[in-house]
Amino acid sequence: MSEPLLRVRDLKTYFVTEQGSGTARAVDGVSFEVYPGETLGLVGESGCGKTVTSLSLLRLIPEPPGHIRPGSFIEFEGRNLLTLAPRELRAIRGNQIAMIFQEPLTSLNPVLTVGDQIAEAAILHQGLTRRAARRRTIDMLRLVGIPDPAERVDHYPHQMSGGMRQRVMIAMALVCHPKLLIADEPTTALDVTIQAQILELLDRLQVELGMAVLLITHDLGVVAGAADRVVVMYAGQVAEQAPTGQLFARPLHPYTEGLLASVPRLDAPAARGRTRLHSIPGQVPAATAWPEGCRFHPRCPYAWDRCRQEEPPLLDAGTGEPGAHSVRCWLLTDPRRRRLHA
Amino acid sequence: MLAWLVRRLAASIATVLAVVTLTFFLIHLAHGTPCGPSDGPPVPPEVCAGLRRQFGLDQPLIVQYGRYLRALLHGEFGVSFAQHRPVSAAFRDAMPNTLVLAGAALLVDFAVGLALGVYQAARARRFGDIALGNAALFLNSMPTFWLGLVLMLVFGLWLHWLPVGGMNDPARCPRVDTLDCLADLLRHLVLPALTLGLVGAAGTARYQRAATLDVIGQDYVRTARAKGLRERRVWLHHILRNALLPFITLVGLAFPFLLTGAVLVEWVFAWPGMGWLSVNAVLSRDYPMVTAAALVASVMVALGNLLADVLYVVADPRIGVRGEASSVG
Amino acid sequence: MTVGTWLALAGVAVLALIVAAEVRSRAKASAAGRRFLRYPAAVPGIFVLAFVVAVAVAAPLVAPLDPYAIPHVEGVANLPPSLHRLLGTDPSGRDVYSRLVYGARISLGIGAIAMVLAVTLGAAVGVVAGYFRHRVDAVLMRLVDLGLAMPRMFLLLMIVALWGQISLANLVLLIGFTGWFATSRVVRAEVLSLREREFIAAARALGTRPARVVWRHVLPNAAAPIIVSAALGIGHVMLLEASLSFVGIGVPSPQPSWGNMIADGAPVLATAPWTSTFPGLAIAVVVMALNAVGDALRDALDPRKESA
Repeated sequence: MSEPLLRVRDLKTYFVTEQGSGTARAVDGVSFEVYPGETLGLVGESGCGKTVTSLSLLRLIPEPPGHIRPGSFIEFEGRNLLTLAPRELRAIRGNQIAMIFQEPLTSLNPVLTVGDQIAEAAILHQGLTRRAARRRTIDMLRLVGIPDPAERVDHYPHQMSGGMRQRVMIAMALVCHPKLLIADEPTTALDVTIQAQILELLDRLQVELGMAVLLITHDLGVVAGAADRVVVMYAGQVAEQAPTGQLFARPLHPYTEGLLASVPRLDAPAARGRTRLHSIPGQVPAATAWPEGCRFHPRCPYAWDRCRQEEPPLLDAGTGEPGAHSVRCWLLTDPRRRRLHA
Repeated sequence: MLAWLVRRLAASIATVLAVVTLTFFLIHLAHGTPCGPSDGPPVPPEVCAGLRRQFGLDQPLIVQYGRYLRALLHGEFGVSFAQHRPVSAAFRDAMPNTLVLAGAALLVDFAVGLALGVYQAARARRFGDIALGNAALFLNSMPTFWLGLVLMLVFGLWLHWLPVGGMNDPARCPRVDTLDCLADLLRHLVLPALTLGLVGAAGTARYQRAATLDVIGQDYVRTARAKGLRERRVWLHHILRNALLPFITLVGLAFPFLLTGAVLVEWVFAWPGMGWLSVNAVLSRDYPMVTAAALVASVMVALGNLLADVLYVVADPRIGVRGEASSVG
Repeated sequence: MTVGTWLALAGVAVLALIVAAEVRSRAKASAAGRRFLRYPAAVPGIFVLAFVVAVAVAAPLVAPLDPYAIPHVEGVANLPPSLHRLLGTDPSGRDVYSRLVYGARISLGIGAIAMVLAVTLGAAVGVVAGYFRHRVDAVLMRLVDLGLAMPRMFLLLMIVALWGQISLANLVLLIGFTGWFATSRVVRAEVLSLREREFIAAARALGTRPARVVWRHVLPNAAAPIIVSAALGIGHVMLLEASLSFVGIGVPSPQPSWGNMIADGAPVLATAPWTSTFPGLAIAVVVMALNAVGDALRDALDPRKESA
């Protein structure tokens, strides 16, 4: 494999809570890589730390309550993002690494036209004149599939539908042809049909522009269709990481197992006697009080003493290339335990 | 847009008309029968009838009301008992003075209030914010006229930096016809304008702080940063553009505060404006003057509200008055 | 100042401290209470209010001298603050401190009574307009628009100019009757949103009479804006009364009100500033405490509030 575009090692982002309930360790030792041109899916339930992870990459975490712990390491094209001077960091934001957010309505400035907001990045990073930037903006709007781009460029966000606003956000993010696009739940706020369109658009643009995508979502269906590799997060850590096909065919972490089993399937054999939807028992714990030992053990059907006492590291599953499939679970060392308890 | 404006204007006029009607009834209630005060000697009925005919009080109410309205529309506010001249003449002299004071106070109010509010929001919950917030609260809690007295005491009577009252030096500058006299006017303007302006600024700062904080927490500010914009541009182009929107309506809404505040401030500093006129009139029971001043104040309030509504619609593209409904897709 | 009055004053201070501490510990127990405590000025505000109210109530104990007594001795006028005359004397020779204490009764009393009047009226109108809507609402809100159209000060000036000096009782009534408009709007807004909630529909489905629905279901839930209006309203009334008294049409001398005390001291401001300064300071401190507590209450009682 080539050199990773983005390398994250042991990222820890903590938040100080006001009520004095302690520190929320939202991201507690996350490591992964993103390679050029690939789509990496970052999957997990709400509260697992995936959004905080994405915000940490560009250092968009509000500093008073949150802070990125020393010892965290984020490297982009060989440069350590966490030690960059503010000016250099700003040169990367929106330019080499771009980000789109979940809520396109609130993520766009309501008093500026759509064109203004897209052109802003082009003018800043590429030194275009107003006129050139406007032309580029209209091109981008056309590229993301917005009809009548020459007219729409002067519209305000509230004059557009949700799907169109998300396209605008994408245009805004891609106007400088970034090498990496971080997409935080880009389709969650949209209707299902629009979702499909947006994902298709992202896929097409990725090929056309040759960029990598870090796709953050809680929706396994989205990941199955769009991602090359998947990182599953739980309780602020990476639980499992594998190429998409392998993850879905042979999930090794009990959490991933549970997630996949929870997806209702039309072709599930009814004869298995199951009349209720499968769900993972229990709830995601609070970030101020992660469980001792393996963080998933209270909800895990296989847990035994070791799980309650020792936190497992990320272990190599040994399938395929070294490092391709890793799992944070003691079952890898003791596969006989993979039996459901009574 | 035009249709809305016309409707809005009609509403303002209706409000003013209602106030005029109320005022008329109050005047009639209090002084409808000029047959002497109820605790004075009884007036013989023929004299009473004669007086009533003289004042036109024997006409039906509606006729009196009509005459009252017509007089108002011609700018005739009646004759002042105390000053023995038409009220409108007194107003003509006093109104510019009040406008000057109110204008200067408005400037102080917004310059200080805006800056303070934004600064407090930028330093939210830290020492600067808390200290300034309490100072502003204190300013907002004191009687305006008392602040005037304190400022007068410190800067006029102790430090002798500024004059303690009046609008000009009557000996040197009875009229503002030289640059020197303009400077004299300004020196007299400082304390009253500061008094009125600072108290207003305290309220404005609170408002602006909340508005700015609200904007700072919005997602699009995060988007702006994610685009790599410099902090200064994020502030000027994204945060303030949105945070100042509500501020614009404060211009119109400041009118009632300024009018009411001007009454006491003009009185304290002997600034010969509408407020000073009003207080003098009340003390000499000169009700034509006071009622006229009250009407003028009501018109100003109505104008202020209208201005606020119009400015807000013009400033915020989301208010779909231009015929393009804002779609929430 | 005698030893007795010093002790009384100290006693009042201690009482106020106890009240404040009690409020603080009670507040910690609930989420709303904790939101209240997030305002650093809230508990000191409670202390100030408790202190001032206690001083007003215990005026005879706390004030050493008769506030009306004009001493028939020479050279007692305009004395600076001293141990004997804690805050100095006014141009008539009266003890400023004693007048301040008794003035608290007048100023706070007027504030409280007028506020109760205004808030009751405002809440009643707001609830009726918000609950019954349609024509009743339209008529009432036009009335409110009319009320807000003329600045209160001018309305009061006009009434005094038309009818002459009004008695203290009438003054309070007048201030109360002119101050309910803003409250009614706020309450109406709250009621309008409450109206749509299921528990109201449930009550009506049970055939409950409207009056009972309003009294038992709507009012308790609309209490928050009413309480906040009350706290802030006293402050407005006190400032208004001070203005009127300062100008000479409010509380008549010799009855001490903090407003007319400032007026008494104005002529001698340069040589004897204490007479005007202390009453103004008192007003500022009390109104500030009311504002701080009102703000904190507004945040505490608003269920939609999350940390900014």
